Amino acid sequence: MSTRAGRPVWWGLTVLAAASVLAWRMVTGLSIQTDIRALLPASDRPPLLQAFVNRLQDQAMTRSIFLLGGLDRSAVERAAVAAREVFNQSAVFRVEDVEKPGSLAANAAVTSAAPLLLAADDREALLLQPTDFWVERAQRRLLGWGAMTSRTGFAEDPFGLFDRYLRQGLPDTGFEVRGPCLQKQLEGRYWCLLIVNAQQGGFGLEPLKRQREVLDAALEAAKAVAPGVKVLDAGVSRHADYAARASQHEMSRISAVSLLAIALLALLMLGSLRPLLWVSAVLGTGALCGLAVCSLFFGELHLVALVFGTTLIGIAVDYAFHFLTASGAPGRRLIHIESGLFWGYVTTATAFMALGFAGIPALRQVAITSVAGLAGALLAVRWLLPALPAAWLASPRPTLLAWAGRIERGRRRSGAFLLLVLVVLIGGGVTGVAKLKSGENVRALHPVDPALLARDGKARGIVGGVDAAQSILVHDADPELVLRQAERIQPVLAAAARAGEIREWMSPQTLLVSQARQAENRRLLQAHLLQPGGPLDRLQQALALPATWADAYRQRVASAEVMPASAWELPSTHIEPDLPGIATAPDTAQTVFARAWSGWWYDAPGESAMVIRLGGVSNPDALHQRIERFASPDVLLVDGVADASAALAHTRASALRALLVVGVLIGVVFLGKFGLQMLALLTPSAVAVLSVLGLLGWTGQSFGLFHLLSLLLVAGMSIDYALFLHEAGAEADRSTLAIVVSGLTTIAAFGMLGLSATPALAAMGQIVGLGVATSLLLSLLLLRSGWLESPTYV
Amino acid sequence: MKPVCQLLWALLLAAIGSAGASPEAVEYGRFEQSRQIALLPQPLLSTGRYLLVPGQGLLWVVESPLHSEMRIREGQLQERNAADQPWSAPLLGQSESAVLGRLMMAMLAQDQQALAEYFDLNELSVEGGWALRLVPRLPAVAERIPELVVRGTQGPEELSWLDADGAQTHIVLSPLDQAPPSQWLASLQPEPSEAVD
Repeated sequence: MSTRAGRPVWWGLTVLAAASVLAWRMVTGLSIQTDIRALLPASDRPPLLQAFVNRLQDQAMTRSIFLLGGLDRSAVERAAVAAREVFNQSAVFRVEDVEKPGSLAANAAVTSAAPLLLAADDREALLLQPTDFWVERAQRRLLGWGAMTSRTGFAEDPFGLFDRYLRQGLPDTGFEVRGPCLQKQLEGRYWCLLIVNAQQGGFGLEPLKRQREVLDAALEAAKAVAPGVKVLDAGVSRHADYAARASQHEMSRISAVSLLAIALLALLMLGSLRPLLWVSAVLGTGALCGLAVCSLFFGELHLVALVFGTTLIGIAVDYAFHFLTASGAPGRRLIHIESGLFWGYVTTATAFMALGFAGIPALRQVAITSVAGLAGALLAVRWLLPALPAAWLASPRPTLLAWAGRIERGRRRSGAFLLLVLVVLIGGGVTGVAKLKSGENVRALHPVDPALLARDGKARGIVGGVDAAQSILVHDADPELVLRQAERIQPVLAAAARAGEIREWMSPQTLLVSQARQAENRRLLQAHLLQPGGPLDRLQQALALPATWADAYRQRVASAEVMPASAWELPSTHIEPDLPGIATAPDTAQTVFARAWSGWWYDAPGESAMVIRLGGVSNPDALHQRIERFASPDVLLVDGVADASAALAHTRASALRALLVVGVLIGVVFLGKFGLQMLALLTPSAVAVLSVLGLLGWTGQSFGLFHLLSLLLVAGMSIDYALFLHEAGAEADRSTLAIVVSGLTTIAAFGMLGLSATPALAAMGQIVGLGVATSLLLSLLLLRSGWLESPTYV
Repeated sequence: MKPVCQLLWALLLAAIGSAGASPEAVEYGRFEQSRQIALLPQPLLSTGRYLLVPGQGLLWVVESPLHSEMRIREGQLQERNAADQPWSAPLLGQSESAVLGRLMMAMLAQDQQALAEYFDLNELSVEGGWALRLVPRLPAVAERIPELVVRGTQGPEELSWLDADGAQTHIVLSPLDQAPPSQWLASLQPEPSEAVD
């Protein structure tokens, strides 16, 4: 069967197969992922350690806070009860039961080790402070108001050491457990806090939608029972939901505007809307094939791959336009454009395939969607369109063809102007590239709602404490070794706080003391507090206590049992070693520390890890350096934003290497095929890419992964323009018209993307719009100058 | 009160009028505290002075047997051991600090509404005055202070409570018929001011 006659049955079978695959994958649970982490390459950390990190980040991602505030405490409590009921009745969120671990001092293991458990500043004071300091401190404790809230009595804790240890170790942001929630009074308002955890993890569109619905329902329920109550909520869930919806909206908008632009230009060029059906068939086939093949390779589709896939309309539509503007009967039109189609697809597909070999999950999705999608579009042009009756295909308007002909016939008349343009663009590009800096901004990948951010800030300001963006993960073979590592890192953190690099940190380590340190504490007490004639004896004399009291206290310290790590009853989250990243939480409800430190400890066979959460990190680079100088492989700074940015930079470097190899390969192939005219064919894309890079440099923007992907699109489309003009032969005027219309379509579609609320997508739109405009102009100038003259034409 | 002192006192109060304090509202006096701890052979005695400016704060200065200062300002409890030292937050949680601060302010200012947030208030019948028994509502507070009693004729004159470890505290308040030191008043104003006599 001749390819020129078309093979509509084959096209139908392809569409049917792609639709069936996609439907089957959707029925069997294909989901759309929006979590940016799914885009990133696998970490080179050991699997178990990465599982700890993943779990730590998951916990931060799934937790939200729900605040209710008002002047009337009972109204606030009513609202909290109503909201809590909504959360608990949903299968989406669970309200954390938060209680202060008041029973800690009553725990037998803790009490037996009590004399050996010291606050960090008391350890320092034992080394530095004179006897009088301790005697006065004990007396002040007896006389002051602090005695009202002391957790320990004078008899067992005369210097208040254990009391201070307990106070320092337990986190307190001013909330007290009261009624249905944690309560705090701030600036005359009562605030009730509910901490809720998403039970259905993940950042798929559906889970996010359900989370939003439940949060909104809880808000409505609270308002219904207490209309005057103010409700604030904060969490990653809201932001991810907003980003997902905004991306979806933008995807629809880009598609709609692209199609509208295509419709208008098709109407202008061909004088009929009927060809739109064939353009749509080509685009639809491409989209269907791209998604179907991608869904076969991946369990879930990432939203970024979908958004990027949408932009391929700009390339796919070129194929259809070239066919529609070609001359002759439908079955014969491919003759004029076959070479251009072939080489255009080969170059674009090769470049995108190279992305797939960069080893990055998201780029693989982009590559497969693009290669398969463009193949689908190409097959539709080859199999469907040639089989259509001639009457169904309109011809370009004569006036437009005449105009295109004037461009084409004007060859060799504007060589000087072309050179001038090239000099300006290359000169500007090279000087701009010299200023270009590379860098990734992971926050630019998501659209941000300023109102949500403001609400977040307000809620966090009321709740206080540290956020979970940056943490330190300390891990080792067992909990005792973890505690020792954590104790070693404390002075580093204290120095960072003194230097203003961090505001504060929170860690269970302030309460959990290693056995080694407990033994050291005993020695410190005996040397600096209990020594004959020391603070203890002086206090006994000052209060006229019997000597036996001092002896009894000495004996108490001497016989105190060092508390082993196992006795701390750590509420750890168990990580299954065979399933890294999958965690199961054991029932820790009865443990002493469960309420206070749940989510701070992880364990796996042969390894344990503890989290130190950092607050107010103002100088992450300096902190990184401190941790690096600490030089322990067991202490890891986990910085979600920095990790993601580093991973994106790694992705960009991998993709750039792959593309450079492909670029050289295409150059060699073109040299063999087209000889020195290869230079003219590659000039529009090379100069367009260079000038856009230069513009980035001149405007002070950092070159990131999304810029690279955008330039890849520019290069792909630009090569197509030059190739089609070169291969058009006698159809040069028609190809010129097709290219101008295609270019305008692309510029319109990406111009809309340039207005995106997502900075990365906006940059992509601007880059592609500008790059395509540049390459279109250059291609036409090259054509006029005769540099794209094909042997066939001659 | 001597006329000059009265004049100075009036000027000072006028100066802090923007903070809402009125001459009638400011309470300045002396206290004597006695703490009976089971282990100790005799009660621990301490004396000092206090200044209450409703709406602003409370200053509590122990002068004997050793110097110690506590103040509640803008809802925050702070302390220091000498007048030339900077104020610092005691090693209390925010919630404990806030509750303790509000409690002491409410007891001395007879602010029953504030007290009722944390305590069940029971009036006791006493001759020639009044008395309130305060039973904590929050278990966390009740664990440490099972009950408090405030007595007085007009303003509060005696406070007493029992700690969880059995220590009995008794405080007697005696208003002073003189102006408080200007630095004391200044130290309760919102802007930082450190010096106290």
